[in-house]
Amino acid sequence: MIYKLYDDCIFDFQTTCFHFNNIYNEDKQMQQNMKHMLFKKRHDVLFSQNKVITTLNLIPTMRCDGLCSYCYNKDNNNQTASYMTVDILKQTIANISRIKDVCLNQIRIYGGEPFLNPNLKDIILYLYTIYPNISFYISSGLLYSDEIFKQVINDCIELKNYGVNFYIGVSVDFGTTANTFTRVNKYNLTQQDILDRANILYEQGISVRYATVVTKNTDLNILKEDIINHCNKYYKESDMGMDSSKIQYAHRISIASDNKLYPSLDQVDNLYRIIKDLYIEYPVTSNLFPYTDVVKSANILKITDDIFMLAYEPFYCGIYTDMLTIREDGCIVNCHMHPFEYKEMTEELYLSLFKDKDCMTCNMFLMCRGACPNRKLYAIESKESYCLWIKYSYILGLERMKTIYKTKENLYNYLTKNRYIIL
Amino acid sequence: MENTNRKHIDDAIQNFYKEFLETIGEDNSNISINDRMKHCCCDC
Repeated sequence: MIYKLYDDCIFDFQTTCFHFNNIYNEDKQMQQNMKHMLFKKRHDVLFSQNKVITTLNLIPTMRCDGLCSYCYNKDNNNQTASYMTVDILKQTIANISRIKDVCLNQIRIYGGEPFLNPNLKDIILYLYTIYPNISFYISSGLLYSDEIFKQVINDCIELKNYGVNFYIGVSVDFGTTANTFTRVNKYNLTQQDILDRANILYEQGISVRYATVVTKNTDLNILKEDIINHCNKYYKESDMGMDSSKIQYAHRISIASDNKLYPSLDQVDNLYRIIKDLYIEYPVTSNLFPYTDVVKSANILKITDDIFMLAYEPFYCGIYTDMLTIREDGCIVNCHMHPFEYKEMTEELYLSLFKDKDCMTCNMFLMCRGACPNRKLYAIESKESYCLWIKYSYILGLERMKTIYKTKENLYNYLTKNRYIIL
Repeated sequence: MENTNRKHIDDAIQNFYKEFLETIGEDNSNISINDRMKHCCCDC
């Protein structure tokens, strides 16, 4: 499977290589060989005893005042009402450090509603003192009282003034109307109320991602209009650059991981076309974030003068390898989307999550690496649409590079300058 | 840009990939550049 970027420049998904020539020939055996190398490496890493934790997910509380019809934690929210404290976190990290090395490069904060925990700012500042260069992601619905929102603004400004690198993902539910808005909450906040709150944060210099989860009920025409209208009102081109750490404003479109609400394949096709169209002018991305990282964060290997490979590490997600999630009470679980269990890797689990038969024959496996393995446990019905969306997301990543670099020569120069030298 | 024969290219692609995977230790620590997309993998 190849994707033509320019004349005499194609990208081969099966080997993840750019070919700046016109002599490309498909070789199925080579592709199979590479896939087997990846499977073997994954197996070795998954069963290794020497894993280092690099990604930490925190759930500061499971409390949430939203009753959103699509929420991956809707059945878990409010089952407990306690709050993580700095001491709980310190103790838990110390416990983890006794059995694994901890060398974090990203911290992501979920819930529940993280900002309902009055200790959140102190937790972030504590982590910031240990990891001053780390990036924090906070997933927030902004569904709380005006009084708490005022405190959130103050806390965010304080964190920013301390120099903490963080951004907030706010679910804005684009593609709905007043009648179909799914973010039901006890304060009767409307979509406009949530947008107003998000925009107040943005105007205070806080980095915001406007998130929408597409379900089977999303109207894609309204989604497109909503994004365009919002961008026209707020988007400043200076906010977007190749350096993802400087992105201040972006829309993020993902699809529902749910056995009932997942979108149809036709919807996913249409969504791809809409985003491809919007990419030209607006900062829109998908489950892969940011879009430029499809190329930018890969390891670029120069194979010959006219062939470059995007070599990805063996896992799409750090689950069962270098990622852990800490609950509000200090319990450790595998994934923030399913924060009620911890599993150790077993051969049985490996076979069900990491050796999917569809991946074995898929042309894009070396790129997506099977994407989220846990969806096979919890949202198997949505597998086809999720899989299609992830494939489109990688294609959109290449489209974005094409939009940015415009010519074959520019892309070639970027790849040459940023290639990774294997020692 | 130079043309190289097909067999040589196929071998080079596989060898580079093999070598790349070998450089990734069990702890990923010897990858010198950003090795994991800072994507959000979920629907949050």
